[in-house]
Amino acid sequence: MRQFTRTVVGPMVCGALAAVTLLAAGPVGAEPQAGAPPALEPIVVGTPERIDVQPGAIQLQTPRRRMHIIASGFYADGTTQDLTRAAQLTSTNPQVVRIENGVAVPVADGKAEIAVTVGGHEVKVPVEVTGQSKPDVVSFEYGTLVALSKQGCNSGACHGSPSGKGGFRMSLRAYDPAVDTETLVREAFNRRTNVYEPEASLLLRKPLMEVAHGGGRRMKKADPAYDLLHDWIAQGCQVDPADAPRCVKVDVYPRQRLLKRPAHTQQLLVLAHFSDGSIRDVTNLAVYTSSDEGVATVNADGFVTGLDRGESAILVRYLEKMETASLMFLKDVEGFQWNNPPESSFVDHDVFEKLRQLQILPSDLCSDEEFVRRAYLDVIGELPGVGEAQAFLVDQAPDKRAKLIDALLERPEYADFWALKWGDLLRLRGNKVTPAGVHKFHHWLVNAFRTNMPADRFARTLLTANGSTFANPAANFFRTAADTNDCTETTSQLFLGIRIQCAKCHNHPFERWTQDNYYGIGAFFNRVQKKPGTTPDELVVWVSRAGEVTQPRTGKQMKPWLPLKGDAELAGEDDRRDTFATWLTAPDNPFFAKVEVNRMWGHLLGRGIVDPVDDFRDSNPPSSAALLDHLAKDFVEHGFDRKHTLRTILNSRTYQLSSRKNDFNRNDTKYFSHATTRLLSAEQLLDAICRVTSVDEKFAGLPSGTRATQLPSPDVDNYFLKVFGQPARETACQCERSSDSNLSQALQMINGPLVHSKVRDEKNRLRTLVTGGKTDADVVSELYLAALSRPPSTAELDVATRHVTASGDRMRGLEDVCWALLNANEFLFQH
Amino acid sequence: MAPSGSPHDPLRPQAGGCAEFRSLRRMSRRRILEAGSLGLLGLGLDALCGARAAATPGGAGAPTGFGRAKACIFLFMWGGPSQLDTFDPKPDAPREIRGEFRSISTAVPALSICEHFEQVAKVADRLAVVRSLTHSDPAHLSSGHATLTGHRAPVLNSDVDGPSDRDTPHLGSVVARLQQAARAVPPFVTLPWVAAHPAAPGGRAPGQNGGWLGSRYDPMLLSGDPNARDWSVPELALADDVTLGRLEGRQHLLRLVDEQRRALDNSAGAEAFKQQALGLVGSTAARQAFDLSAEPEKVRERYGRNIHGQCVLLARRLIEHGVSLVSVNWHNDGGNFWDTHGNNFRRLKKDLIPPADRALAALLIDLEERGLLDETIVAWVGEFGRKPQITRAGVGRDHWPHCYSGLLAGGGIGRGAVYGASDAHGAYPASAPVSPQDYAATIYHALGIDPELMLVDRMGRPLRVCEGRAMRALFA
Repeated sequence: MRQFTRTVVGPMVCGALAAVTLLAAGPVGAEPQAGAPPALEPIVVGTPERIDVQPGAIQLQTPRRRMHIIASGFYADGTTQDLTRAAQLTSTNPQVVRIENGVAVPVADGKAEIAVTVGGHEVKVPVEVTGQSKPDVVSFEYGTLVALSKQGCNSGACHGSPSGKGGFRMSLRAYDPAVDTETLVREAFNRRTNVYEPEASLLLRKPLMEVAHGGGRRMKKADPAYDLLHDWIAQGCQVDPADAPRCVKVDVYPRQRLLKRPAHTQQLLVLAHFSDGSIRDVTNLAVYTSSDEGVATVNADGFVTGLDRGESAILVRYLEKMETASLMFLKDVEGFQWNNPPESSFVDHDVFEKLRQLQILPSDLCSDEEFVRRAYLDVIGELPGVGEAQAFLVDQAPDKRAKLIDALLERPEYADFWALKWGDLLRLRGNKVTPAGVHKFHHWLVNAFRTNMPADRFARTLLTANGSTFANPAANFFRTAADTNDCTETTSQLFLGIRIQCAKCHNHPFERWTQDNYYGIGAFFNRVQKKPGTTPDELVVWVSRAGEVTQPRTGKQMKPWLPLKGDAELAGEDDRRDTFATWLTAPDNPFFAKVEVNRMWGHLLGRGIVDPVDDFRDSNPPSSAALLDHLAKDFVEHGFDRKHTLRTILNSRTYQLSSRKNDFNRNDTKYFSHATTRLLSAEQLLDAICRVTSVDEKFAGLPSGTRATQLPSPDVDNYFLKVFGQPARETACQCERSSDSNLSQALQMINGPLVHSKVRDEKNRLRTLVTGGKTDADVVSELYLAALSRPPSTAELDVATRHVTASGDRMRGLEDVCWALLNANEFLFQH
Repeated sequence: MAPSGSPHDPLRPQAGGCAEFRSLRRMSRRRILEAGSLGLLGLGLDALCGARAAATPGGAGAPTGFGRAKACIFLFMWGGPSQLDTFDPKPDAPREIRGEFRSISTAVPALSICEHFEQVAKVADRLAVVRSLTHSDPAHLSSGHATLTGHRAPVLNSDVDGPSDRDTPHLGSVVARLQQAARAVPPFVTLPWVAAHPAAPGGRAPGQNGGWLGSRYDPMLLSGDPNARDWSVPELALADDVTLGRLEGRQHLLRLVDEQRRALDNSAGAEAFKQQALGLVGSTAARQAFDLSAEPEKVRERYGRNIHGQCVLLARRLIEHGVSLVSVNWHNDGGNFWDTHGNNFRRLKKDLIPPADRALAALLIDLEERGLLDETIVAWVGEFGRKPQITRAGVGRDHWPHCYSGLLAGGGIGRGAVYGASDAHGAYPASAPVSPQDYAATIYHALGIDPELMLVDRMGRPLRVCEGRAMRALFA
C-alpha cells in the first residue's frame, strides 16, 4: 500500500496554481465547455519510489521559446502518477532562466539548471539559453497558421469551410499554406492585417470580439495565439523563407499511461522536432481531442482530466502532424471481486485481462438455448431448425458447442451468408456489373467462402484481376470501383480500414492522411483500363503501361505511395497493383490482417474491437490493442484462414457470454463483458420468418426455395428487405447496411402483408401440426422452439393454450401465438 | 464507465462524428439555450450541432421569426408551375410571353396574380409571394432535391439519378431527426405519392427521404386518393380477419413473451417504434389523425372534392394531430403534373390551377380559423418555373429555372409581402435573387432550425443540412 505522507492542496503550491489557471482558461477560444470537468481535485503525492522529469535537458534558442516540465511519480505498488501540478520548480539562475506557471522561460544567454522537487525527490534539468539578443521572427506556417488552427479559425465549420465565412476563407486546418499565404499576406491591403497598428487588425479584433464576429469570441489576449498573430503582423506579415526549418515530427509525452484513482490527471508535453535539430515545446499550441469524452477531457493546454474508468486516446495535432497519447483510467469499484472465469484461448486472456483491470465483471456463460440460436445466426445466418435445436439441447457431450461450431462452418449456408456480406461491400449489383455479371461474381464469392479461400489470396485476386469480367468474375472489382479515385477509396476502406474519402479534396481534417497520400494510393490503380468484351454485358480489364496521377492541388505527379511506408519502389513496367497487393498481404502489413479479423470479430460480437469496423484511425483506438494484435498475428500464422479465426472466436468464452448483464458490467458497451444484442439483419429476419412459419418467400427470377441470405443482389425488389435495411450497395462502407429500427419496420411486423400472409398460410407450420393431430400445447411448444430455440416456460405455455381455447377458433388462436412470437423482441433480436 | 447512449438513441451521432464536430456540438449548447423558442421541436440540444441560432454575441435573443412555426405543410407543385401564369403575371409583355391569362387584383393592393387563382386572390393578405427564385438546373429530379432539402443534389442537372443515400435529407427528415419525444403519430408524412416523373429515367426524385441520415428518417407514405370512398391507409388498416379485439389479444400474448427478456439490450428503439405502430394500428385516437371521414362534409367541400384538395385537408388534419411536416406532392394526375410543355394554358386552366387554388385558399382560412396559421408554415412551390417564351406551337412552356415564384404563408411569414421581383418578362430576377436552398432555409428558420445546422451522416461526417440562407426580411 502506498503511504500517504503528504497531501498537497491546490493553490498552496505554485505548480498547482498553474494548473488551476490553465483549467480556467477553458477549451479552444473563449467558449465555455459544457460538461467541463469538475473542479480539480487535490493531488495526493504520497511517497513515490522515484520520479521522472521530462524533458531531460532543455535548450531555449530564441526569446519566444518556452518549455513545459512534466514530473511523474512511480510508486512501489506499480502505479504511476503525474506530479506536475505538485512539483516545485526552482531555477538555479533566474538571470538565465525563470519559471512561470511551471514553464521554463528564457531570460538571457547562459546555462543553468532547474531543480524539480516533489515527493521527497529532486531531479535537476540542465538548461541552455541562447539567441536571446537576436530577433525572433514569427514563422508564417509555424506561428500564424498554428495560431489560427489552435483557435479553430480554419476549422470546417468556420473559415475553413469550402466557402469560408463572411468572405474570409482559409484552407481547412491549414492544409494548403499557399492558399493561406495568398489570403493573409497577398491580400494584406485590406483591414485584416495592419502592420502599422497591429492591434487594429481585423485578424485580432474579430476573434477578440472587439468588433462583431459571426463566430463569437474565439481568442483572449492572454492566449499564446494572440502574441503570435500580433507579432507576426507587427513584423510585417512575412512569408517563411524557402530554407526555413520544417517540422519533421512531433512527440507527445507520455505516449501511454495508466492512472489509477486517486491519480486521474495528466499534463501532456508536446515537442516538435524541426529540421534544424531544434526541439520546440508546442504544448500550448497543439490542438487536442479526446477519443472518449465520457472517460477523459483535455483542455487547450494539454491537461487531461479523467472522469471515469476507461481508456481515451488523446489526439494531438500540430498542423498536419499527429500523435496520440493513450491514457487508461482506473478506479476501485466497491464490492468488485474478480471471479477468474476460465480462459479458452488468448482471446479470453486478452479480454479478461482488460476487464479485470477496469474492474468490469463478465457475464455468465450463455445458456445452450441462447448459444444454439446465436451460433446458427452468426455463422450461417439462419435460425436452427426445431430438430436441430432439440438435438443440440439434449446432447450431453461436454464439447457439444465446439462440435456445433465445426459443423456450422462446413455448412453450405456459411458460404452463402458470407458471400452476402461481401456482396454488400463489393457492391454487387446489376446496374454496376450487369445482371449476368452479378450471378457470376456472386458465384465466385460463394465459391471463395465455400473453399475457404485464404483472405490474402482473396484480396490479391480481386486487386490484381485482369481479363473478362465473365471469365474472371473477380475483375468485376474494377467494374464497381469504376475509376481511380473509387479504387483508392474502396481499397482503403475494405482492406486498410481507412476512410480516406476526405483526403480527396483536402488533407483529412482529423487524421494523418493527406491529399498527397490519397493520390499516392491512386497511382497504383490509375493504369487499370476497361474495354468491351465479346458479349454485350462483358468488360475486359487490362492494365496499360503508362499513366500517372496528378495531385489536383499541387499539380505534382504522384509516386505510388504505401501507408506508413512511403513511396513504393517499382520495377519498370510491372503492374503496379502487384506491388500493392504484395505489400498489403505481407505478414507484417500493419493493416490488412487487423482489418480482416476486426470485421469477423465485429460480425460475431456485434461490435468491432475497432468500431466501426472499417474506421481505423488514431482517434478511434481499438478497445483492446493486445487482442487485435494477437488475433491478427494468429490469423497470419494460420495462413489468413478465415474459418480458423472464426472458430477461435466462436469457441471463446467471450463469444459465449450471456447478454444478461450484472452489476459490474451494466454500462460496458466496449469491452465485450457481455453479448451485444442487435436486430436481425433484413435477410436473416425474412428467412427466420419463413423458417418459423414454414412458408418460403418467392423471389422473382430465382428458383423457389431461394433464401434471402442467398440473394446475389438487392436487384430482387423486395419491399420487406428494403424496409429492414438491406443496403442498395452504393458504397463500400459497412455502414450502408442500416441497423436502425423505424416505424415502417414495426408496421410491417405488426400489420404488414408478409407476416400476415405467412401466419395465415394454408400450408404453414401451425396448420400442418394441427392437421397432423398435435395438441395445442405441442403446437405452441414447437412454435417456441422454431422462433426462439427454446421451449415455452410453464406460464407461457399456459397463457398461450388458454388463449387458443378462449379464442373459439383454434387456428386463429394459434395464429395469434405465432404472430406474438414473430413480434417478440427475443425473436427480432440476436442475443 | 463512460455513459453511452444506446445504439438506437436517435440523438446519438452515428459513428461518433469527428472531433471537430463533437466540439462544435458542445459549443452550440449555450447558443441553443440562448435561442429560446424552439417551436415544434422540443429539441434535444445534443442534436442541434452547430445550430447557431443566436450566434449574435451578447445573446440578444433569437432572430425575427425563428422558431415561430411548430409545423410545416409543404405543397410541392411537381413539374414546375409557370411563374407567368400563376403569381408573377406580366400583362404588359408581348403576347407570346404573357400568354392567354389575364391578371386580377387581390386582397393585397399592390399584388396582382393570375386570374384563375380567384380564391387565393381573396386571401392573398395571408401569404407572401417570392418572385425572385432562381437557379440553373433545368432537370426535374435534381431540382426537386434542391427544393425539398435546401441542398444541391448529389448529381446536378440530372433526370437520371434517382434517390440514393447520398441525398441530403428532406426537410421533414431533419425535423424527424431532431424531434426528441416520440409522439403517437409519425413526425414526417408524405402524400399521396413519392414524386416521380415518367419522362425522367431516374424515376423518383431524390431528396424525398432520410438520405444520408438513414432510412429511419424516411417519411411515412400515405398513398392513394383520399378523395376515394374506400380510401384508407393500408399500413393502418387491419387485415380483414384481425379485429381490434383480436389485436388486443395478440398484444397481450406479445407482452408476455417480451417480459421474459424485458431487459434485452438495445431494444429500446425498436420497442418504441413497436409501441407507436401498435398505437397507430390499434388505437382509435391515433387513427383519428388519418381519418378524413371525421371531417364535416362542408369542410371537405371547401378544400375541393378531388385528390389534391383532400390531401391538403388531410395534411391539416395530420398537423393538428401532432405531425410536424407533411409534404403534399402534386399527385400522379396522368398528365405530367405542372410540366406543361405541350398544353400549358388548357392544362392550367382546366386541371391544375382550380384544385390548387381552392385547396390553398381553403387551407389558409381553415388554419386561421383554427388559430393554427401563426404556428404552421405553408409552402407552395415547384422545382422551377417555365420559359417566358411560349413554345413555337404556341401552346406550351418549357423548363425555366432562372426565375420562378413560390409562396410562403403562416408561421411568422409577413402577410401580403412580396419578396424580390422579376424582370419585364419574368425571365430573370430583377432584385433579391434567392435560391430554392434559401427558400428551404426560410422554412428551417421558421421551424427554429438554424439552416447552418450540421448533422453527422452514417460515416460520421458532419454535413450541412441546408446550403441556403433564410429570407429573414419575410418575417413580420
